[in-house]
Amino acid sequence: MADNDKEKNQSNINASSNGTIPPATADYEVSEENYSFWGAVWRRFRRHKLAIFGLWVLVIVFLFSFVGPVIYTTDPSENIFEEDVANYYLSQINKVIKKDPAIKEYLGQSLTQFEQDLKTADQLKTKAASGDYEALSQLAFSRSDISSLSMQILSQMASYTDSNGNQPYTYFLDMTRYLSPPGLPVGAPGHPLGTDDQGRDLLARVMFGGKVSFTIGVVSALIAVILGSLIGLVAGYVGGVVDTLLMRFVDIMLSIPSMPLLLALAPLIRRWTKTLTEGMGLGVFGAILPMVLVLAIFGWMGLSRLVRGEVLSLREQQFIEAARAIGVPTSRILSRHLFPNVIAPVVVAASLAVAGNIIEEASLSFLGFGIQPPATSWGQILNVAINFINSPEQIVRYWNMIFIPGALLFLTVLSFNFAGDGLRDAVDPRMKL
Amino acid sequence: MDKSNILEIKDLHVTFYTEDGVVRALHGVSYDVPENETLGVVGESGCGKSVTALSVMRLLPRPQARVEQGEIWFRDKDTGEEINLLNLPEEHMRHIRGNKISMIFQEPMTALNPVYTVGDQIEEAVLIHNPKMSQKEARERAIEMLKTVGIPAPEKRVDDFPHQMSGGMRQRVMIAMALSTNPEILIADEPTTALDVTIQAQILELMNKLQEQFGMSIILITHNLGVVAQNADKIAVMYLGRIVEKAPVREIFHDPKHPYTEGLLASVPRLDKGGLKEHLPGISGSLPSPYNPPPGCKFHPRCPYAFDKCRVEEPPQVEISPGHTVCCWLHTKEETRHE
Amino acid sequence: MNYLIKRILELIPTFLIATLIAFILFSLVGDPFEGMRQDPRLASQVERLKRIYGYDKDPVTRYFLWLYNFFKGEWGYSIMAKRPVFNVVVERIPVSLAMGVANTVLSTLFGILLGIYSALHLYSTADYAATALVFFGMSMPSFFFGVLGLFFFVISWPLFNVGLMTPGFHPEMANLLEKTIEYGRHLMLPILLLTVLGMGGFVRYARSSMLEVLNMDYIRTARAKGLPENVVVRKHALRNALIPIVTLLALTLPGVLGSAPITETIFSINGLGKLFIDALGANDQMTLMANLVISIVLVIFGNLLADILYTVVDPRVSLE
Repeated sequence: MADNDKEKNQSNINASSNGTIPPATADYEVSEENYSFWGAVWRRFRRHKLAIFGLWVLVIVFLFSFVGPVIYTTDPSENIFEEDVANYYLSQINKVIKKDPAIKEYLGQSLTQFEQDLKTADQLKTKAASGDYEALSQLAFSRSDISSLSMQILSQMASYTDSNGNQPYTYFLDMTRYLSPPGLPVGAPGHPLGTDDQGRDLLARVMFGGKVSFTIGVVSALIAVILGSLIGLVAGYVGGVVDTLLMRFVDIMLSIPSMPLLLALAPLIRRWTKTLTEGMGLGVFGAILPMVLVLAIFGWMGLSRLVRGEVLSLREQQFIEAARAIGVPTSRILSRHLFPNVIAPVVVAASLAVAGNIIEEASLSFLGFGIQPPATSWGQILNVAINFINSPEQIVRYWNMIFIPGALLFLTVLSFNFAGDGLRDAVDPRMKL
Repeated sequence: MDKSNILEIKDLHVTFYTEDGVVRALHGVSYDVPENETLGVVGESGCGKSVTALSVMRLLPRPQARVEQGEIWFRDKDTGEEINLLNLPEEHMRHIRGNKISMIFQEPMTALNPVYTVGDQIEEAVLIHNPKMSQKEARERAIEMLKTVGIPAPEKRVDDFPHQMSGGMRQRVMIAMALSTNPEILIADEPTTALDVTIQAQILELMNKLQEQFGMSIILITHNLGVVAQNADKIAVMYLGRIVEKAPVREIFHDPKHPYTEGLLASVPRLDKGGLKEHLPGISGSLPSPYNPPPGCKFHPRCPYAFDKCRVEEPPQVEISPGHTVCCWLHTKEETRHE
Repeated sequence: MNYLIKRILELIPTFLIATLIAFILFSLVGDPFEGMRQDPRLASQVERLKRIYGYDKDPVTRYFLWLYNFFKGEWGYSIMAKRPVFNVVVERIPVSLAMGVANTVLSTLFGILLGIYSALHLYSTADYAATALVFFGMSMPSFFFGVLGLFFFVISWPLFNVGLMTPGFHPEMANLLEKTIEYGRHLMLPILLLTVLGMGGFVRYARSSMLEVLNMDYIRTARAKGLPENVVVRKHALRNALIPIVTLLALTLPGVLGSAPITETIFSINGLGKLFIDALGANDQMTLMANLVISIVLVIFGNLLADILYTVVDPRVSLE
């Protein structure tokens, strides 16, 4: 790394060739490690405010997606029922009663009936859970009762007229939209982000989706970076026919537009991995794997070009020549001399690649070619939500499915880009990436 | 201003405000450029020699660099006026820059614009300062200048692009461009550093010849003592934003006073004293970080003679013989040394 | 000239291998007759239909057959549309072209202008806005931006029309002006959204290109000559900064017919991108191929054009 450090300093001098900014060729009363290559990168990175912001957001999103489910244990695939919605209504009515006790009288018998029915449903549910089939069929009837009773009590609330002739609770009528299919709005007790179109807890799903999006983005970028670096290293170092063939292949791959290719390949790879991993019980990872592979397979080309370029310019430099001259074996030159020098641009490219891959995964999932239910990702949630956008009736109910995962997606990708940009500036501001 | 001088720099302080910290690039630099003479400015890279030159041209990088203090007096020979360049409005400065004071740079390979022919670039310099001149006259002037700097077949080469020329040729073009307006001062910032040794000699010889022909002063900035030994009349030695010693060229070489000058001279191999077999002592240690310069005399961490005072207090500038000044506690009078 | 010929000859293997890869890929994606096989009444027809549509041979043989026919102008038969692929694809071109040209022209023009302006006015408000736009373009997924556009400007605040044609509009009976207005009303929002997203890349590129040039030694030389700053910028900096920008422009050529499958899907625009998605769903291999070949050809010619333009704008590079 010391070689590299000097190299960088040297090029800085040349860049501002008449030495307008005096270069730090050595340090007075400053310990060496502060000025090591990565030490200097970290110092510069820390000053990049957006990058630090990005890093913090990423930490938060990461904790949200990976540690969140440990704390917030609601099952993302469990859906709610009529009685849950009714309980929500009841809590809303009770809130009103607290402020305005007259309402209790006004509702009278129907409120008692409503509470009674909910209690019954609750008992039936416990019984059904222990395998009582009789209770299960009764529960179905009970639910339809609860449903119609909910409608009745909500319209009763809405039509309440106070002494001044006002109707302050008309908004209860709007709540009826959550009855069929059963669902809850943002802010409902126990479901802070409400539920999705199938009555599943959106916060749990968004956490789950975050885990999926994050993992796919990072792992696919990692594989692509390793693949691209290896191919680039080989092409650049071996040169000759190998280089020509590899780079021609890269040219060809890059001449096929990536989106159509990804769209076509995603289902294909999904089928292949499905047959290969059949019965292996991979769980969520089984759903993630095909996306990781698709994005990795089409993500390495740009990187291999970058690494090859770095290698080509580095191999001409004297310290490599010197190593070769004293008989250092090729493998050692590659691992000890070349790789450390190309690692900086590769790290930058990787952090930006994660951002790109998260977008691509989301786009594929949005179009229905990516993550498939029952697994989910932010893009997949939006894929479902887009069906509601043309109906004003439904958009009012399902806006949380559009804006929450969308905003999280944007924020995460933005943060990766901020961090990547900060890293690039810290490593080498003149880098072309 | 002294009548024999064309340029006087007085107590120049320049600071760079960079992302990595504040750098005091120049700290009270003063030197005079006598008419029709060559002043050599010597020092390691980063010592501030180029910053001084760019301050004269008022081309310091903005917004990082700021002139904190100082004056740069220039005598306009045409009007006889004495001007402080630092107070000049940008409009007026443009008439000085490239017209009265020209500058050439270290890297001839990158100093010319790759997309215009060398002729275009010389003509541009001529036309901007001679608005009455026609395109045709400017072209003739360009060819004439190319001929003056020794470019063969100038009528043809005038339409060459810079990439079609060698490094030495490009530096000749740069000189032709700088001199095309008949300047009074030529600032040459490491003009030969990037060139082969044989070409270096040719370029320096050309500059000497042209100095006589055009009658101008030269500020020759270099880190190479050999270059100034042959070409300069006076020498200023710089270290970390300060002038540590100023003297006529013979005195610097025969009787250096500052330990830094001494060290610089000792690190040049000499055939007359022990030849190539001799061990070169050089200067121990390395250049301190400009972000965090040492206290006291800036050279003390590397100075073999340093004593306590050097570590605390900066030495003042002392004239030890006419035209020879030095900043070093070794050469200040006894009473000031032990006060 | 030799170089140019060599360069053009090199395009042939690129085209062949790229299309071969795509062809094999698409033939692996799915069997278009899968659905028929499930239906006992149609199962007997499958073999006959396979012969008719040319699906009875192995993929490589079919590729060469396809290639031969492709150059004859016979692009195969669309299983999805039950019509020749050529007709299906050609009808989709005008709307994609209109959208692609408008979006490319707008985003390159404004992107480059803003990029150069911000390089010349570092740390100004415009520069910060430009940087914000760069990050926005990099980070905003086009589908979410499209959904937001749809939500705010069509549903909540109906400024634009999207989707189906306005009732009472008959394309056969309309004249060119009426057609333009009708297309415009429907395409305006998607074009606007694509432009905002696409600009970021050009801003970034133009800005960094200009900044790089402004730090060059020859800019200092130009200043040292005593040239006024605006001449330094316009004559010396801009001319050099445009070299990489012009080549980048050539590389945007594919964007002109840019399949924007996502945007077209969101805004229900029947362009090439949506055709691709629909064809993918129907395993309509010939339509997929025709669609992709258009893109591949544009990419390849874009690269060639970039090379040629490079030699035109940069005297250091020649075609020899």
